[in-house]
Amino acid sequence: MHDKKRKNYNLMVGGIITGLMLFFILVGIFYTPYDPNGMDATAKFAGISFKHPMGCDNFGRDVLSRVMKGAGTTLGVAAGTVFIGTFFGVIVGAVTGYFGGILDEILMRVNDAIFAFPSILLALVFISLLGSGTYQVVIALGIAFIPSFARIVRSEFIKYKNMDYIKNARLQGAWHLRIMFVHILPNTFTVLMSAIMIGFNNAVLAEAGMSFLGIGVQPPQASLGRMLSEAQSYLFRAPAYAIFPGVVIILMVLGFSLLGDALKREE
Amino acid sequence: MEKELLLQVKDLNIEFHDHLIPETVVYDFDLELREGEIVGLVGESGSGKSMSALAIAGLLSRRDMKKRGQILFEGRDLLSCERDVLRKIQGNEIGIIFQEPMTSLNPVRRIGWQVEEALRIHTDFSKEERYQRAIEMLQSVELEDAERIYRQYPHELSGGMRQRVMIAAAMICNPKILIADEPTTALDVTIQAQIVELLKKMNREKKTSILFISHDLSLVRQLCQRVMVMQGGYVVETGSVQEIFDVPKMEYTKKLIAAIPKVVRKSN
Amino acid sequence: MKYVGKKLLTMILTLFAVTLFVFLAFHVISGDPATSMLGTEATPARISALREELGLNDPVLVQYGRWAVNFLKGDMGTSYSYRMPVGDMVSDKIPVTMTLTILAFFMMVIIAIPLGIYTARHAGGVVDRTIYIINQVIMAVPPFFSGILITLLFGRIFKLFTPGAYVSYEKDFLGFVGYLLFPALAIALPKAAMAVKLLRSSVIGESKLDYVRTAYSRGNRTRDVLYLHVLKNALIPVVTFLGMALADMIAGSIIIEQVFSIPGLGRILLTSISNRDYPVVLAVIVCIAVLVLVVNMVVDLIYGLIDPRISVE
Repeated sequence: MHDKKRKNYNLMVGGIITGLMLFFILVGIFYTPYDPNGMDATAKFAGISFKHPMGCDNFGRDVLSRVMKGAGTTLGVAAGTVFIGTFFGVIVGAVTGYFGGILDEILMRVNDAIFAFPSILLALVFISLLGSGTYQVVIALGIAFIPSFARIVRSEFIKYKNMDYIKNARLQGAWHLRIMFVHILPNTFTVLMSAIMIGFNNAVLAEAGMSFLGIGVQPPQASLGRMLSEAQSYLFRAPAYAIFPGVVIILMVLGFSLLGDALKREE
Repeated sequence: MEKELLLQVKDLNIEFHDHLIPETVVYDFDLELREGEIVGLVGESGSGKSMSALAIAGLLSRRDMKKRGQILFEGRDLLSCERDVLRKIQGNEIGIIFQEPMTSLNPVRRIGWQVEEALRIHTDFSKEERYQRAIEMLQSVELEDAERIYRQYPHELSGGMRQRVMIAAAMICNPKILIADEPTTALDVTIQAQIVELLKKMNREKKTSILFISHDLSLVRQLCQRVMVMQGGYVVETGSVQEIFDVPKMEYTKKLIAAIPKVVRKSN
Repeated sequence: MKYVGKKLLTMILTLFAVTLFVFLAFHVISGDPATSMLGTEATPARISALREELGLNDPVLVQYGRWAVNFLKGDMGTSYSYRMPVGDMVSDKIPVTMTLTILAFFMMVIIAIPLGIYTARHAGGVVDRTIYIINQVIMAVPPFFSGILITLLFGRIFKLFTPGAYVSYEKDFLGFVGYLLFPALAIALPKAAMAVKLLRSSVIGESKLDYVRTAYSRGNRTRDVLYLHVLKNALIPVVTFLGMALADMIAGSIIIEQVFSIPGLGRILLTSISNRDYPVVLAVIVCIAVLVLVVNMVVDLIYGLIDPRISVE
C-alpha cells in the first residue's frame, strides 16, 4: 500500500528533476550566458551575483555556463558508456543465455571474474592502456559495464527460452536469431530498463570520478567532475565554485534513481 | 460422559482492512472443542476455514476481528487478554501446523533448534533436557535416525518429513489443542494417510484435541468425530460425522460429499 | 572444506587470468621498457645490453612466468620513472589504503544495520520516510563530492581536522586513524545508504514468509521473531552486497585519497598512470586485485556459514 504510493511519488519527483536537467542541458547546447571557456581576469572568483548566478572560477569563467556545458558532456559520456555496455551486454547475455553450453561456461567464468572487480578499477586499467581523454573514458567505462548487463540479460534469456510459446515458435521453424531478438528480447524490456537506469547513474558517477582524477575529459572542455577537481584547490576561497557542479551531479543521479525505483518491476 | 470444554469460539467475525472497503471473510463463527475431541472443519478454498484457524491460534491482527466476538480458551478470552497471556498459550497450550511444510520451517535454523523452540520459550528446561525431549518427540512422530535429523536443516528433508517435524515442534509442550491447517494438502497421497495416522496417534496417546481443517472429506471421515462445513465465510452445517455423511442437510455439503473419489465404494 | 577448496581454486585461477591479461596488455601497449628507462637519446648498444639484462628478448610467456615468480617472492620489478624497486614504493602504501577501507567498511556496517532494521520495523513511519529521502540523496552524491563537503563541513566550519595535514601511521597511529575517519565517512555514506535500503526491503520481504507465522505460533515475542528468525535470513542478500561494497570501497578509496591528499595506493596508481610507469601500475593493480579477491573469498565463506543451503548446491 504505502510502497505503491512511494512509487508514484518517485515517478513524479524523478520525472520533474530529470525533465528540468534535460531542459537545462538542451538549452546549454544552443545557448549559454557566457562563452564557457571565455576568461575574464576582472571576474576571478566573483561571488554569486545577478550577472553570474553561480559565480566565476579561478580564470574568471562563468560557472553557470560551464555547468550547462559540463552537464551535457557528462550526460553524453554516460549515454555512450551505457550504450556500449547495453549493446554488447545484450549480445553476450543473449547468446550465452540462449545457447548455453561450453561457450556459456567460458564466457560466464570470464564475466564473473570481471564482475568481481570494481568497475572504476577496470576503467583505470583500460585508461592506462588507452590514454586519457573523453572517448577513451567512454570506451573504458563501456567495457567495464558490459559484464553487469550481460549477467542480467543472460538470466532473463534462460528464464524465457524454455517457455511454451518460445518452444512453439521454434517448432514452427523460426530462426534462432528471430526467436532471440523478436520473441525474447522485448520481454526483457522492464528488467533491462531498470538496469539501464542504474547503469546510467553509475556511469555519471564514474565519469565524474574519472574527470575528477584528471584522466577523463581534458581541459579546457568543461565536465562536472573536472570542474570539481579544479574547484577543490580553491575550496575555502570559493566554496560556491565546488558546490554548484556537485549539486548538478546529485540532481542528475537523483532524478534517474527515483525514476529507476518507480519503474522497477513489482516483486 | 461429557468431556470438559476446552475451547469455545463465539461470534467470531474476521474482516481485512487492506482495501478501502473492508472485506469480511468470516461471519459469526461459533465452535466448541472438548478435551480429546477431533473436530473437522471443511469447505472449499476461500470459505474462511483457514482464517478461523489462524484466528484461534492468535496469528491474526486483533484489528481484523470485531469486538463482540470471543475466543475462550479454558474460560480466558484470547481476543481481549494481555499479549503476554496469549503468548504463554501459543505453542504451549495451542499448537498449530500448516499446509506448506516446505516453507513453514525456518530455512537457516537446524531442525533441533526449531523443534525445541517452544520449550525454550515456555519452560526452564536445561539444554540436555530440551535435547532429550526433542529427540523423543522426533521419534514419536516416527522419524528414523532422530539424532541425525536433529542436526539437519529443513532443505535436507522431504515434504512428509518436514510435516512430521512441524508436528513434533507443535506437540513438544504437550499442548491441549493442536490445530492442523490443511496439513496434508501439499503432500503425496501415501504420505497423507501416514500424517493422518500420526495425528490419530497423538490424539490417542496424549489426549490432544485436534481441530482438523481440510477440503478433503474422506480424510475428515477417517479422523474426526464432529464436522463443521463452511461456505463463503459462514458455517452452514454442523454435526457428527455420521449425520453429515449419511444425511447431509445442505445442498453444498452433498456436493462436497459427491466430490469424494469413488474408489472407496467400489472396494465395498 | 570441499567448498573452501573450490573457492580457493577459483580465486587462484582468477588471479592468474587477471595478471596475465594485464601483463600482456601492458606488454603490447607500453613499447620497449629499455627505451623508457634510458630515454630516447641512449645508444642502441646500451639499449640492447639492458634488454638482454632485463630478459626482454625472451618470449612473452617466459617473461610473465618470471614476473609472476618474482612477484610471489616479493620482487615487483623496477619503476621506470624512479628507478627504484616497485616493492619499496608500494609496500608502505598498502596499510594506508587498507586502513582507510576497513574504517569505511565498519562505518558502513555500524550505520546500515541498525538503521535498516529500524526502518523495516517502522516501515511507513516518519523516521522511515525521512531516512528514505536522505538515502536517495546520499546515493546520488559522488564520493569525492561528499569528500569535498565533509572537508568544508568538518574541516572549515567545525575545525575537527586540518584538511591536507595527513599524519603518517609510522609517526602517530592514532592521529593517522583520526585523519582517516573523515575520508572513510565519505566512502562509507553512499554504500551505507544502499545497505539500509537493501536490508529494509529484505527484512520486510522475509517477514511475509510462512516460517515467520510458525515462529509467532510458538509464542515468540515480535523482537525474538525478528532477531532469532528473520534477521539471519534477511542478512543473506545483505552479506553479498557488503562484500561487493567492500571491493568497491577499495577502488573508491583511489578517488578519496586524491580529495584528502592521502598517500595510498590510489595516489601512486594515478601518478604512475600519467607517467606511463607500467611496472608500478601493474603492481598496484595486482595488489588491489588480491585484496578484492580475498574479500570475495571471505564473503563466500561467511555466506556458506549463514546459509546452510549453499554448501549442498
